[in-house]
Amino acid sequence: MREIKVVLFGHPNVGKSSIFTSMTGLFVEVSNYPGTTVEIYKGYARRGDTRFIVIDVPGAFSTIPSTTAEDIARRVILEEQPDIIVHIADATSIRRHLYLTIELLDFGIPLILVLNQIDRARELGVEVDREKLEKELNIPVIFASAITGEGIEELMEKISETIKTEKTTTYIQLSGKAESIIKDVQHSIEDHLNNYRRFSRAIASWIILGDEKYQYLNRYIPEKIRNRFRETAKVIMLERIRYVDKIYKKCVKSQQTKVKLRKMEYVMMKPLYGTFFAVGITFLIIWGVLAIIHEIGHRIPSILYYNYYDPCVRAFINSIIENEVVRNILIGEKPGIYSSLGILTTGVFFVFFMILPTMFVIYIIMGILEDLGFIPRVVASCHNCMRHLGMSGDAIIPIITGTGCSIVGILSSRTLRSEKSRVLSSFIQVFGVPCIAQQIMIWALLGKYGAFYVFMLYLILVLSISFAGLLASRLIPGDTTFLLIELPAWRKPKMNNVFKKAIARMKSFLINGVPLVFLGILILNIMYYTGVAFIVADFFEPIISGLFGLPGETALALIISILRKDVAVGILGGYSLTASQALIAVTLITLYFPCIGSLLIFLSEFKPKRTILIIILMLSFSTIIGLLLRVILILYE
Amino acid sequence: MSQLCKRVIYGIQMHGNVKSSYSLADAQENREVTVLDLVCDLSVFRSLISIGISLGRKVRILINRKKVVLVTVDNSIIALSRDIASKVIVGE
Repeated sequence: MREIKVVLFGHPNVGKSSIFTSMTGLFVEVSNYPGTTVEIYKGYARRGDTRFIVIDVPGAFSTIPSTTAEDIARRVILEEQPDIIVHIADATSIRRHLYLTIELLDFGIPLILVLNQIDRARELGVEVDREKLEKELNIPVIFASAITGEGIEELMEKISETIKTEKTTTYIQLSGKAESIIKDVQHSIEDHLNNYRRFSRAIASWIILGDEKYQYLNRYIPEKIRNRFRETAKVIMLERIRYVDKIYKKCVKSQQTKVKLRKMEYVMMKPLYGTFFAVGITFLIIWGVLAIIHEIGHRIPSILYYNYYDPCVRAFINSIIENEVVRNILIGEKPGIYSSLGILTTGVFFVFFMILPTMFVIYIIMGILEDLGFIPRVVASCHNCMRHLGMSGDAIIPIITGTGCSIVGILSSRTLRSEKSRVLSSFIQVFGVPCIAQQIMIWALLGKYGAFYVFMLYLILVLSISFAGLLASRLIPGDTTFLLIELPAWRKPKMNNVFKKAIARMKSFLINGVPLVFLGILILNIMYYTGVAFIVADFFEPIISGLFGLPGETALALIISILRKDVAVGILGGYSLTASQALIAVTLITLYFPCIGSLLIFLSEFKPKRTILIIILMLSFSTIIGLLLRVILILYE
Repeated sequence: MSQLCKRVIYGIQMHGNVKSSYSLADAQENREVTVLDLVCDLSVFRSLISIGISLGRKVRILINRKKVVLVTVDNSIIALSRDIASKVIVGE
């Protein structure tokens, strides 16, 4: 059987994932690129005796990356060395995409250009002369529509045909001087590229165009050539633009259509209330659906857990394990989720009956909002507000995602352009954005004392985030990145696509996140049964009681919160606290230290120095806020 | 001739006579303008060109607010922060 490896490349929001879904079968693998956390989707398809391995990489505007996600997209091509690259472009705005086609030609790998959304392009009066375009670019061009399925089979056939005929691509020949500089650079670096030798032309042009990643190769390039990089870089780009314009004029006829914004978009772009409107709608949708799911759905898993799972597991473990400590670690001392923590009881309940169903809902909603084209508009709307906190508008996406789980939120900050934005958005998540599981516990605990206390907590968190963000943005060096994004046309979400991605991401969480939860519970149990937890709690008791007016036993909840914040809030329910004490305790649990999962992810994503700085900020802020809160509540009462 | 001059001339040559030039951040809403130059460092230059705001392109300003400018280029909507918009020199 013949195997063809295909990489789908293209701008973000161009319908790449929809094409991927149409090409591949039901089962999709999602993996984090080695050493990183950017998701790569791999799917399979079979036609006759040919097996297609289709790889969907993150969207990229250029082969010279400006974000980690774009860097990964390029690295997939370099390292996987696919048999063919399929460039997915938007047929409604071909000219904007042709620049990337020209960049991709430099790889020297067979290339197919797919013009997606051809149906919409026809509606807009865009006419493309396919034969001319194929001739100009010297590559096959396919008209496709992921919505109607047009062109998908033709694409599969064309991939097979291109591989069979061993058709190669030719790069765009530039003018004499620019071309000779590229050739000189190519010649100088060729012997130092090892496995990437076949990409020497692409790498040579990246070096000239200032790609930081390959600047180390400069030492092999003679100085007189290096001195001409600056002028050559702009000549290369200008010639490419000119070439794109030439092809466009020859092959595309486009009627002048006026793109109009919707009323909602005008409102969203208003400086202040537009941000509230955009973020408000997002949260309303997410939390509205979650509340409904929680109300309707939480009973089903609870019934399943308490009536079937829990009794069976307890009976089984009691019958096969005699050692009490081991038994307690596995199923807890007493029945009940929070009365004692067992790996197979509390751990399984957290993961399979609480976190996974909620995560699934969040992924589905986020997928729908993304497909709809809503999220990029929220980004543009929030830019003004986020800049005050030292971030660009796109940092709002990881923060919104972080309301589900800060681990997922920190990982999704990989799409941000600047390191500063990444650190700050991750800091805000670990500092003041409680995860969904913790929020459910907070509603249950503070709700007992009245809605006022729940509202107060959220107000405290928003104010804390704002102050801490302002301070952190001044302490963390680096420039706030600029905003430059495309707002895709509104479109109906493709549910097949949304579900497929949500399931693939859940699989990824099961493999990477779940072991951490079980490990956390295991460590907690070991601390508990060896008495270490009580020694630590006794040590901190004077501070907890003296500074914040909380009962000494709260220290144990604060320590447990390092492992699981939702569990810590749940434990507070077992203490006799006044409303004010409950509010102070929950605030401290949320703000004083990141949970172990977030901390480990933060550490793996950023330098240890930054992690220490963030921990110092969290400890100092939470102490000040806890003290202030105590004083205010004493005066209030 | 310097590269800067070449770039500006390229923009003008592509789209006829240009009466006046100013930054995109100062452009009025609903105006259609032509990109004449990009006054920025190489990485921003690359980013602008890759997204479609390149020399000679016609751009229509949809919204020009305090921090964000929304424009249409070839049937697409692009959002730029004001600092980036100020680096894009346009003319009518």
